[in-house]
Amino acid sequence: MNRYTCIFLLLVLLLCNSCFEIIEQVTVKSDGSGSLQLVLNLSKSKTKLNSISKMKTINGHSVPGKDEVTKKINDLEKTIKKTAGISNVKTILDFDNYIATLTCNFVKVENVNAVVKNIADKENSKNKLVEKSYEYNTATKIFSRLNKVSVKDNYQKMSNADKEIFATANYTGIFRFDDLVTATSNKESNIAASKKAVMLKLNVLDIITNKKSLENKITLSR
Amino acid sequence: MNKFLITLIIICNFISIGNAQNLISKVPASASAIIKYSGENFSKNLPVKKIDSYEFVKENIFKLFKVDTLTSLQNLGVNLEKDTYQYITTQDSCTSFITLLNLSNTAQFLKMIDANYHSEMKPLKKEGYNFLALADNTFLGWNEQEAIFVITTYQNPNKYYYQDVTVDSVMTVATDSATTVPSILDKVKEKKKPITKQTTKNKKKLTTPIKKGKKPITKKTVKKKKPVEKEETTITETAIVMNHEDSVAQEKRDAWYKEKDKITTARQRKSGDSIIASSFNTKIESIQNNSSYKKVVDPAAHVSVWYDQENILRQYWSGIFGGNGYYPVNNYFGSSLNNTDILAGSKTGINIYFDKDKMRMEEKTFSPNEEVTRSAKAVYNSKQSNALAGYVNPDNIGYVSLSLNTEAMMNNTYAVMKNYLKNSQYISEYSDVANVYIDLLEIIIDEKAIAELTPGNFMFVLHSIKSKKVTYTDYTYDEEFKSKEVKKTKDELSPDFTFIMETKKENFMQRVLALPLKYTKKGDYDYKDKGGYYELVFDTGKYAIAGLYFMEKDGKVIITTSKEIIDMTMAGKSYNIDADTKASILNNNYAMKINSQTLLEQLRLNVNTKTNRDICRYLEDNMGDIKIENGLKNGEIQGTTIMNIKGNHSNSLAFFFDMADAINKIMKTEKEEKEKKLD
Repeated sequence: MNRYTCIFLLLVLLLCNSCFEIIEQVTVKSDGSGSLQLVLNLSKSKTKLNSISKMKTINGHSVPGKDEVTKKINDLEKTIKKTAGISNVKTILDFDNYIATLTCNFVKVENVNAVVKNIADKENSKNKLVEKSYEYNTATKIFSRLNKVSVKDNYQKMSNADKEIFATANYTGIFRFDDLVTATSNKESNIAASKKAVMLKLNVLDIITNKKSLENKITLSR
Repeated sequence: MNKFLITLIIICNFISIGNAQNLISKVPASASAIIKYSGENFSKNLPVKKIDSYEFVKENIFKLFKVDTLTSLQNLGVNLEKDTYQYITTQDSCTSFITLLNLSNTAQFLKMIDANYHSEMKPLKKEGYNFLALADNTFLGWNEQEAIFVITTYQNPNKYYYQDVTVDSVMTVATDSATTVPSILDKVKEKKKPITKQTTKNKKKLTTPIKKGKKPITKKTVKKKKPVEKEETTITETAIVMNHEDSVAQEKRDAWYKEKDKITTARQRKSGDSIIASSFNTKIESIQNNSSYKKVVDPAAHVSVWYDQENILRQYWSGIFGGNGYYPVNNYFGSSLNNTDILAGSKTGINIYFDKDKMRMEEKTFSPNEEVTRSAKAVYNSKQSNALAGYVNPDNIGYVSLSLNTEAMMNNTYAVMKNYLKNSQYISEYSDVANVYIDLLEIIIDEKAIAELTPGNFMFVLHSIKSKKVTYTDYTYDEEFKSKEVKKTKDELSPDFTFIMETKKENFMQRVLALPLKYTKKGDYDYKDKGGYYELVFDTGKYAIAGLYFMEKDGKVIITTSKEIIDMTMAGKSYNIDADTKASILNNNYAMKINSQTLLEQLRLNVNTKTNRDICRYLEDNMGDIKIENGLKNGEIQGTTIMNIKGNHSNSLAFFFDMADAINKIMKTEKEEKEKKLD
């Protein structure tokens, strides 16, 4: 789901030519249930977006109106709500600051994977690799952030004008746990002082070009 | 691959020296665009040795050509003592971009080609020349004296849609094409000049053609690769139903696309082969005797560009509509594409001169058709007003002044519409009806009234680019990675500009500007009458500009970000501009000037990185103002573009190389500093 929300919103991003940030926050309790928050922050580009919103097209892409964006997000929200194990789904679209937020609770992380699949099905995506974004084994106490999707080829096919929007874009992933974190596989990630959270900050372009990875295997204490 | 070709061509063109040679005789009169690079003029400005000495040339260009840095560009095998030509032509639905080079050393030239293309292919020995397919769309022909590169694109790959044709017919097309074009893997059948080969593991070198009386050149060979046997796709003649879910239809569709690729490749090969063959073996009707070419191409220029607007337009539309298959180009344009009325043989010539202190570009457009010339005269029959010129402040970044006759433009539009419809395939039959409608439109539209509303004089002035603080939302994280929303500020470039339009309908424009006042609440915007002018205020930090002022006074409609301009207009004053600027604005239909110094200074203060600041500083010290003028003179549309240079450069051509070298050094230094920090 997160990726598909992002994919749609990235289309919105194609309309701007400046920096943005994707923030992914996942809280996982000992029993595997938890919550997810996704934030797409375009605030830093808001002056450009305000100007672009007055245009019909930019870089050959049509500019969606506020109503169109709202409808799309509402559709996504409906799809998410229908997924078993997902509850308390909320979306906030702040058009003054250009920040989109999605939050929901899940019984187990597989429910979030199911959301991704449902959205992929709805969008007729052929990419089967989006089906698994998270994995949590309560027995081994290992939480995994997966990323099997490579968009490098798609990126290479983009025009230079479109490529520019990713040059200064950032990704922040924060994963919180009830249990203590004993190890992380991604060297770029940091562990909080309390050892109950992990943060990974990356440049989106590095992720797209496969220079750095979102993937992280987080081992928790038993 | 094309990057290699383009760079080779540019380098060859920039370092060609010597007297003009007759490669022009190989440029056909049917070419739609021609570029000539004058070797003699280039050599006077920048000798090859000097080019060799540039660091960026050694680091980038040599690397690109895969030659060692001790080699001179003269050792690329290209004869640098002759002129170079490039042209565009269309034949048999293929649009081709052709480059004609003179060779000095065939072996060196082929060595470079071989290093760059890693060719597994073998040149075909043809009558009087050698032929090599470098890619599906790139072909090379050469003899001891000349080389010709052809990059060609088949314009009708989608001429037939798979569901519209039976596959058998498709196969026939492909087979026919294939039979007319020899396979790239064909052996050289002519055995007049035997070639001995040796074996290598990975790569087969190009076979160098052998000069008469010389020993055969011994080259390494590879084991002959087993020809790849392509699987035959069996496709029935059953009509294909468009169903994306249907895997059989998908298979058929895929098979069709493969066939389409085959057709495209075969067509391109045929076109490349034909152009190269005719270049070496046929005496063609050359452009060199064309009066329109001779009229505009100046032998004193360093670079000359000539193009036929009518041909270019035809190719452009053929590329778009000819390529989509469903709609043959004539359905839309019919014989209009073959009709000379629309552009009536308009030709344009551009001559570029690299003078000591400036780069100068002279442009001329003319048509032998009197009607087109008369129409152009009417459209250009307009003069910029003194009042608008008074808004140009010499200290500003730049301006664009435009003065055209609105009424003549509108009247001309009707004639173009009639001509277009008359020549369109389906509508031509009803052109009398179409003409009545257009005449009716002409009766309804009051061109004189529109011309009074906007006679055709416009002025845009960019006063400055300043830095403006804008706020945005960000997140900070504590040691537990708990996020906190914070408001931050950043600097954004904010342009300060003025747009002025002349009008004779003052009362109407005043009513238009007052209209938004009534709807401020409904429209949720801040628009105020400030007594003589109006102010639209944008939400703080929401846009790059804080607001706009609107005003109508003394036949001028003004939209500006500058209060100073409003105050000046209210006081009935204007700026004092220098005589040159005033003459440029008043004596031309189009005039533009950019004060590079002011622009770069302001950009430098607003860019973030040290590299960009250093580049700005370099350009500030070395780049002069840019000025463009365009108007109707002697029945021709004539334009001049001038870019002045400053600093210590032997001439303006050297400036471009010096600039590239300096920027390369700045970027290299920054990279090294970054790496040091990382260490």
